[in-house]
Amino acid sequence: MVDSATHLVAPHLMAAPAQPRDADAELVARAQAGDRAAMQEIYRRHADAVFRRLTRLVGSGPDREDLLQQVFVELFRGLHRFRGDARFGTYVYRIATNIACDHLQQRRRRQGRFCSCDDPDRRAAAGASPELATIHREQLERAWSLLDRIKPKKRVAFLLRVVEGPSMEQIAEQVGARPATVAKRVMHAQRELMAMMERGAR
Amino acid sequence: MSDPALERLQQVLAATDDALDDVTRARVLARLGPTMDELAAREPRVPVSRVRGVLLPLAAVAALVGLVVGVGHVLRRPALEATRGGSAGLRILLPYAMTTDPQVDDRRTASLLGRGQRGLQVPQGVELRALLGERASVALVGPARLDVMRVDAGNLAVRLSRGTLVASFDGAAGGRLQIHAAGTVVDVVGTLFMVRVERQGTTVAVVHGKVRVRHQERTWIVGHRQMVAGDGVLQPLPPGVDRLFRRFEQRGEDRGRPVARHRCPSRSGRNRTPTRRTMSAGRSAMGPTTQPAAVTEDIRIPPAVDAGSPASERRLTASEQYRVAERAMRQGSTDQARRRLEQLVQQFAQDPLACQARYDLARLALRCQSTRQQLALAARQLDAVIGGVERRLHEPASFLRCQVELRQSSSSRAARCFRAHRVRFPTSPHDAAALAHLMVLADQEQGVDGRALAVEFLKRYPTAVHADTARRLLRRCR
Repeated sequence: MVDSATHLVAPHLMAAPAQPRDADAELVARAQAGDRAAMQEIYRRHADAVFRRLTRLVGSGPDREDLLQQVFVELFRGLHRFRGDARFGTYVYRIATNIACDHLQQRRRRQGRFCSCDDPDRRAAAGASPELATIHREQLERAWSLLDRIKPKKRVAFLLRVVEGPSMEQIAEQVGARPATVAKRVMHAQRELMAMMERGAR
Repeated sequence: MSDPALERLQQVLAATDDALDDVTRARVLARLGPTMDELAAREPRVPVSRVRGVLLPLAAVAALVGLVVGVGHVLRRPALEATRGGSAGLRILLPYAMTTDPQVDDRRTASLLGRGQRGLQVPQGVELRALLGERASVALVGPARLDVMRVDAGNLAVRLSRGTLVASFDGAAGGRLQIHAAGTVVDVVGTLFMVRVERQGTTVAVVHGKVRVRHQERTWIVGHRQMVAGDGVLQPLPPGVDRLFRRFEQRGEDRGRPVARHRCPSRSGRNRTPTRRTMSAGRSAMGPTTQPAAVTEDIRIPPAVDAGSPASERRLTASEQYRVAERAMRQGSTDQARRRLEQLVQQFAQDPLACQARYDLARLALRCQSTRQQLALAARQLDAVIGGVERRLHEPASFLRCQVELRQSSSSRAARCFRAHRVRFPTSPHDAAALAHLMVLADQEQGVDGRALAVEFLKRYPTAVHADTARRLLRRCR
């Protein structure tokens, strides 16, 4: 049984990085003009949230660090395309999600099934006792092994919907698909997961 | 989601919070500038035939170069010493710097701080937190410099040239942490401790566990809540150092770092750890210009005690007992852990660690297929914790107590308990779970309308784990 402490959803996962919009806009304008200090400030503001998003989507393998770098390189290289229509945090999240999705597809092609449980201790729930951490680690290993069998697009939609909890519209915006498509992906992912869990239980 | 298994999967994934540690954050930042420069250099030049105005790209390139040089010049001013070896000339504005050593080609060292990186340097007014490997969590309070000397099979040796290092080292799985600090060597098996290097000498302070401190020919064993400073005399922790430790533990818990876990603070004047004090009061033994005044026996710190080892049955202190129990829990030896915790409660009933042990015992009882008697015992243990001196455990113990009631199949008592919990701890991190339990209990009980609770749940926790359950309940009630 999962300890009650693990039932709680971290509230910071629910929304895009919360930063004052104006401050972001000013920084973005400076970064678009090539100001490296502004880029560093943008990195400092958003790195933690992007890292968490990457962990949610790809698991806690060592590749997250490279992905984090890739996200910000892509962000800064394409910053001139950001026109300020959406929140900057959403824009960053969208890049992170796309990169995570590409990475999952590559990984799937490269390795077939991938065990993302290389660093389980650090993934254990924050503040948990060793005993609880062990239970949590086992559950996580199982959860990731199930998720690794689902196609990346479905996996990403499922994780965004059920773990982070934004609306279908928000997810659609982040993955560049229609809400109906996202809903379908989530539903298929759920079905596949349930089928796998049922098979596992038998 | 409708399926409980899926809900559980969601809960497991949601409970994971992997924060980005300071070193990784800085490492990626340090790589960003050079990577972007490299990519910019690689990008294909636009053919002249397709260029309508030649001046525009030229001006852009010139501006970019000028900007890079300018920013580099500006960023150099904070006098941070280094970025990464071999990277472009642009210095990255970091709150601290990584010291580099081109000779370092040790994979294990590289795995700690990054390839080619040997140490961390922290300026005045900055506190850096980092994980060194899987078992050492450190905070460097600037100005400080820490270099990794050796890494082999769980043993880690670092040199603290200056500044303050607060570290938590988990040695339960074997291995040691050795700190070389201005002629003083500190051996750690598993503990939460601090080393501070100043001109006047080195200070070593310990909160949990023991460390062996060697300086010239002298050896000290610094134990639970003790400190040895330049005068070579063991003394209790001063309030300033105590605050530093508390901050370290608090921040570690906040960010999910593997620091020492909740432990009851020692009550004033009650030091339960029978550290062997063989030093007489002497003058300044650890300062660079001082002479040793008293010499101890060379007391060796025993390696981490095997759980359940007969030789370890005697003479274990409360903290040692707890450490053994922790290790057993980590290894999944629930029975051994339970035995140790019961022993701790029995032998050190007045020790602050006993309340932590009681709490753990109750958790184990709840987790395992416990009998009614065991659950009743767990309830009593938790009552003792709730009424105990350790205030930090009151809230989690209260919530656990309600879960015990739930397990004992007394729905009405469990509901009462959850209601009381919510009243007593209105800002509890378990409030969503307590409310969800109340909602489900009300739904199960005939004649009780759970709608109000579901509405409250959705209002307060619209995106929480049990929000779907609340929505379902509302839909059904309509």
